Amino acid sequence: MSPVSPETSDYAPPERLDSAAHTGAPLIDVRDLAVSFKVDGGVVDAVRRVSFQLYRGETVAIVGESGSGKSVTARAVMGLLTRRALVKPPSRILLEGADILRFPPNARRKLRGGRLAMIFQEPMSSLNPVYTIGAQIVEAIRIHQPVSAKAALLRARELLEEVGIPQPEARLRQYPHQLSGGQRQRVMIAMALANRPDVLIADEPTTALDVTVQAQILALLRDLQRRHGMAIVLITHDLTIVRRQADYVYVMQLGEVKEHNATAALFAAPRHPYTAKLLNSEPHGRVPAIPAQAPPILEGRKVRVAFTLKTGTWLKPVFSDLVAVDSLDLCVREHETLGLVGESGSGKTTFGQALLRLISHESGEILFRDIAIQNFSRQQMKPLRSRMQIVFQDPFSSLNPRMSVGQIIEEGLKVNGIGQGRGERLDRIREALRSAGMSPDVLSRFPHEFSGGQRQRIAIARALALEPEFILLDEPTSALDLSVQAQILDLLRQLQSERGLSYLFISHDLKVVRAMSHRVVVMQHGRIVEQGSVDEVLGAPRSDYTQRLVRAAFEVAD
Amino acid sequence: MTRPATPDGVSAPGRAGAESYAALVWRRLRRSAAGMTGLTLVAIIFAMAIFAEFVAPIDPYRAETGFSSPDTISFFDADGAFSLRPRIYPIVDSDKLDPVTFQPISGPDFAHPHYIGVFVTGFSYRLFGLIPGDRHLIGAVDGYPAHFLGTDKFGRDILSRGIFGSRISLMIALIVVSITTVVGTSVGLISGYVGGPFDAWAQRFVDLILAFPQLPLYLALTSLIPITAPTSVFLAFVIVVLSALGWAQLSREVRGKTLSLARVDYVKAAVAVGASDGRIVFQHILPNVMSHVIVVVTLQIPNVVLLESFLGFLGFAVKPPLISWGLMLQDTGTFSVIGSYPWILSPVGFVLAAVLAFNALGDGLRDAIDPY
Amino acid sequence: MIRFLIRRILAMVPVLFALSVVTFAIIKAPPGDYGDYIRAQLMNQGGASFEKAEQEANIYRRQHGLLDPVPMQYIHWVTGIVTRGDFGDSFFYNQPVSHIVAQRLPATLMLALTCHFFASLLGISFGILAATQQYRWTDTILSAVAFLGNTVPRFLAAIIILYILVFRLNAMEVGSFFSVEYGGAPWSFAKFLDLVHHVWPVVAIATFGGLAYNMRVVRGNLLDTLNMQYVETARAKGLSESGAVLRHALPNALHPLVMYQGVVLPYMLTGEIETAIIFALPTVGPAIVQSMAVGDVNVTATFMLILAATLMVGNIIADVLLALLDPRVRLQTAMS
Repeated sequence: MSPVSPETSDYAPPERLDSAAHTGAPLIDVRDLAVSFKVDGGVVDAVRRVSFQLYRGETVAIVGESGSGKSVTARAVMGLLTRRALVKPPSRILLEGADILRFPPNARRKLRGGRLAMIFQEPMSSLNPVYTIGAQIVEAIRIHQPVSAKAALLRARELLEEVGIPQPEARLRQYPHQLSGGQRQRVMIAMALANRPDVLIADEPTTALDVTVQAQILALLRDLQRRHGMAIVLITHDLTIVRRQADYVYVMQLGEVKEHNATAALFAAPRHPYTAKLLNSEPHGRVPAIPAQAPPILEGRKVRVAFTLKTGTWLKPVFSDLVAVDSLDLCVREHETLGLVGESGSGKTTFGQALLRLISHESGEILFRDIAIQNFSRQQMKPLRSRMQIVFQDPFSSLNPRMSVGQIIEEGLKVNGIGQGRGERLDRIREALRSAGMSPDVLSRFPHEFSGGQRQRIAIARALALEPEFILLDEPTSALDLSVQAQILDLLRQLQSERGLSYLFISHDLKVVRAMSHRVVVMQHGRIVEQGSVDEVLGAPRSDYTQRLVRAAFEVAD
Repeated sequence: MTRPATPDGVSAPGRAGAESYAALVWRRLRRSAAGMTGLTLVAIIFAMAIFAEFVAPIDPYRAETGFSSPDTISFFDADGAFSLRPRIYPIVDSDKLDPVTFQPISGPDFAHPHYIGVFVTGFSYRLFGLIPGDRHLIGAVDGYPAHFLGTDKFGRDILSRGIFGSRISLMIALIVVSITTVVGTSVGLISGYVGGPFDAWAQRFVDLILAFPQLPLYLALTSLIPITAPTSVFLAFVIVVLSALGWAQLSREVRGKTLSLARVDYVKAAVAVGASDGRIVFQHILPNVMSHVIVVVTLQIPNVVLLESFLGFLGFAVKPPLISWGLMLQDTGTFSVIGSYPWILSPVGFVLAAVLAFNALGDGLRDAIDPY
Repeated sequence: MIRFLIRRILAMVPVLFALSVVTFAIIKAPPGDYGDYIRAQLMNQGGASFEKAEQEANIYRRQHGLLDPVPMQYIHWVTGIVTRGDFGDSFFYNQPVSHIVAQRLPATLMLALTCHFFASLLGISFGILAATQQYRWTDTILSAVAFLGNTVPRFLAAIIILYILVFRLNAMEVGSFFSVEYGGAPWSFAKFLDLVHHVWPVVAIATFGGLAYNMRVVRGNLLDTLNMQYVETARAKGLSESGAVLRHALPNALHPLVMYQGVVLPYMLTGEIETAIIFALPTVGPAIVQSMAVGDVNVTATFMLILAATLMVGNIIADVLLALLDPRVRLQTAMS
């Protein structure tokens, strides 16, 4: 068994710090849990000596970044580990005193969906697409209770009502793809509640949902907890949610618990360096002010982008127009960062890429430094390309897996004839990598050898190599861990002040936008709902929608 | 060896340093038993075809007694003791007579064994038309024509003809597959990338081609060749016919991949730096499509070999002096022949070996190219 | 649905039309026609002189329109089909082609469908087994079986099995569906057994190939679906492992298989044709080969057309099945 790192034992004793405050034994008591996986070429220790306790009726949060082992821990409790997983001694998982790791498989199965329930991150893929909602909930009921199908269906209807789904009767007959993301998550919760579980484990339940929907789901969970006295284990990487929902927090990294404490105490006075680093990674600070009337660098006037959608059945197609950007104006000034905020489907990415002439638009003017580019052909755009660059959201699909890092960055230089000869180009590439915080020795390596954060740095280097004046940052940190995100945001701010770059920063995360932007534009359904300076829009929002967004993003207390 | 998962949740790669895509594929292929077996077999088959003069023990055109059965290799000497030297005992008529038929009883002549060896002297040849030689991989040391697989109706050694036949059969396969690959990939790429009316018409054309029941069409097209046509015409015709239908499926698959690749972020990034269409197609889309194409190519080769042999079996084959497996199977159409001289079916073994080898390699490649 | 069907069937027509033109052109292209066959027969077996035989042949040609220019012949043929459902006459068999089709096509289809049925049944079962036993011996063995099934060429297997049957096992009457005793007899269980006795090689060979294909597809799909989140949800609900696999993973894995019906059907047909040619069973394959050899144009062209039509119908059925089975395709997409 691998040794536990020395600091851990100081800040993460096996017993909770507040155990004295609780009467009675914990509902779930995990001791010395260790889980490893067989992978190609070895064994990976996913969880190393984790202990935690959960009392009745409370919410415990397990916080960590990717690879921390939090999901594996949850699955170990539920008994959902795959065949390649090995739970090593002396792990114990006590449910009201009985070690369920020693239960025969059938007894463990009875617990699943019965006393222990779990909901997952992706509501779309968590429900089986070929069965109706009603059928799936009924199945959850009938596995554990000997009731007739009819009775189960009635109960399913009640459950749907309880989780706040309108028109439950009709919903029962619908299929998952006919519901929205938020509704699907409510259905998942309904299924989990079917047999009145003692414990609900929620694995990143709101990560895949829009901000406003997130708030609703979290409120629903709180409400249900109050009503049924259910204990909740909340697994998440989002610290705001932890502050809002959790009574007690465990912080995990690399398979170990680094620190645990009651929520308020942890946030007020973190003791382990990792906890401190994590808390510090929350986007904070502001960008330095810029002169008030700087000239515009990229401008859009009455830009309209529409797609023709083919919906309806395959046998009877229905064509409709989807207006992604409805005749909008936008102006990014020199040296500033304009934050473009919205939920999924708001049209923000479409707008940004249309302004960069990567997507075709229907009408409107687009100006780059007063040059009208809305009708420029590829040829005409070419000399301007090096001046306006883009960094994409997904670091995995934005780098060609077949090209080496050097080739990826060199492409822009070659195409634009920058640098005389190979030697000079290589110098520029190395300089760009250094500026992006990457070692210049990686030229001959390939994208798959790097982590998400490193790939994003490579993507930034690719943009920097051309020495642009403007960069479109399309959700550049949404796919990254919190600590990595903090580094990338610092890098972007530093580059802006060093090189005088202008950014159009697209994001759904208001915390990031607040820390990065000078001005903010809020979009919803293809329209601009509000705009102004960052303090105006995010500090004192005027429209209803923005207020909801801000509340969902920043409010900690209920 | 235990390794903790890195903070990003991705296990650290085992090797540091540059690892191109090709190296990655090779590493994965090495781990697949089927793939490596296929690769080795394919290499052997190609070596056999290239160095046919050396590998074949007997001149494939030399005629002797027709339909003689294969010479059995024995590891026992005259006294019945086991020996490591393989040998062939010629069958001769002995002095004894069969009591019933009064025919001389024939049996192995233990007094005059022909020892089998490697690198023996045999018929002379010019390798690649240039290098003269007369050594052969395997054969009888004393020059006795050992027929390991027997002879055909003209007394020609089947094993040697099979070895030589691989040349034509493989050559046809390689040419056909090259043509279908180039045409199919080009059409698919242009169709998927450019779209528009070209795409619409091309797709309709592809649909038409794919609607044909393939086998009957091959039969019909091949029957177009006049019986008296010279071999070169026949070869050209077979190649054209097999290519005509083979590219359609590949073009459809390439088109599908191109369509999805055209929307991927790194292609948009290339547009953002000002790359031209040509550059995008050749630097970004084509390399990512190639892996799929290579697998398809590897798996198409055996199909063509099979088709050629099936057509040969039905009577449509190259003419002598060319030798192909299809031609060798032409004689196997009559049941009486197979019944009395079953070794005439040996070319089936060659075809089978080639088909299994390429398919194993293709399967191994397909598993190896799937992303990391 | 009806509108869709009608549209697809109408779409078939131009393709069939193009096919018929191409087929006819190809068949008519080589020099020589059935008249030559008659002349050869008269000379070889009737002992006639070349001139006399040629005369007779020409009479025959004139009677059957073989002297008309090719486009005329084509138009005759096509109008015959469209107006009278008359596919012309077979010179060789001396019957209307439609009779021959009626004799042979059902047999081919029955065989192909039987093979298809077994290939699907066995292929799916083995696929499930292999996917759930991944990394164990069962999977390795089944994968080897699948590999062999996919790669061993059917006509080669047919030749070898034929050889073994005829020359090692002394089987009689390989080239027919029934033994002499049962030829015209009414159906009975014994007759059915006799049929099985005769066709099992063809069915076995074609099934083996299709089975391997199905197995590979099901195994691949099932391995993918087993990793899907909704299977974990099913387990989290307390469903047993077999329940999760059979009720949640399998239906999603089988979906794509329906799409593959479009590919499997021609594969089965071709397999049936190949093996039937070797075994000389009275089905479509040998009829095509034979008619090509003697220049029996109407038979060849008609069978090609019928085969193409069958394939297209198969594809349409597959599309309809997919629409029926997949609720995402069937119902309107949701408002988000």
